[in-house]
Amino acid sequence: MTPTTFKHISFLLIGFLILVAVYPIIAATFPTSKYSELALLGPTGKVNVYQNQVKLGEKLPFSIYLANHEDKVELYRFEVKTVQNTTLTSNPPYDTVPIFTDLVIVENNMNVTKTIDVSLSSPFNGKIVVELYKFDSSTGTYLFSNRWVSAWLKTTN
Amino acid sequence: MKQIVALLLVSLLLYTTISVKAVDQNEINSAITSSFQAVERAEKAGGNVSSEVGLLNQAITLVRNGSDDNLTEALRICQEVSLKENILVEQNLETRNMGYYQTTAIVIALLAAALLINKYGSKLYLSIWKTIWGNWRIERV
Repeated sequence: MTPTTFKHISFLLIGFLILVAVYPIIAATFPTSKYSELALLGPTGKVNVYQNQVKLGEKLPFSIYLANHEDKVELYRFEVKTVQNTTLTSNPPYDTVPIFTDLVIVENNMNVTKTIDVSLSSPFNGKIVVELYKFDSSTGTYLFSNRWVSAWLKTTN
Repeated sequence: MKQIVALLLVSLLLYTTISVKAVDQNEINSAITSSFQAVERAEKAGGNVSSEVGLLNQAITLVRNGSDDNLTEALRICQEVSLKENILVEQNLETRNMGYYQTTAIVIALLAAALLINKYGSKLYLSIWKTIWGNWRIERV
């Protein structure tokens, strides 16, 4: 190794160290995308493997998977609604009164699975819709997150 | 006179009953959101809020179960979490400052070492080379 090569290598080393020192600033300047994940799980805990019929008074065969990638802790409220075939013309959020509501706080990059602990007492044929709301600290209200999932469901006797 | 005393006693009893049943759903919902805001602020300041998130989720579960005792306990948890905000921020400030100083010291030390090697390294390398192999002679075989 000649002294010139030695100098070149040490220059490279200095450049690498400067990059290491500056990287956190660059990473903070260009933040990654922020989003929440919502999925409806069937009785086996899988997406898209749903039980489409349920007996009256029986617990709904669904649970909810929720993951937070919003870069901060989030307070979520999810609302479970029954929407008849006839009112399925528009997109959520629906005006229907929820049959089940629950809150959950999820840390950044964490996920949670919640059961829908409710049953139907009257005949129904339509969609079970789950709408996700996030608590907005600046307004002190829950805002619709544009995340929703649904599955067909029919009650039997 | 006896009637007045009896009336006063009944009033006192009613007042006590009403006072004990103080926690209602709106109050607890408001307590949860304000505690969550405290957690949010503590996290923004860099605090580790994992245990507080666990406590608040526990309070939410208690609220869902719904008895008066559960609501009172949930309210107590919310108040406890809100009170922890400042402690979490202070704890984090110390840890963050220490980490910042350590990182800065390491970066400065490495840069200084690299600059010194760049300036004097080649001479040092040559002198070491001469010390080890300087007395060697190349001979034709």
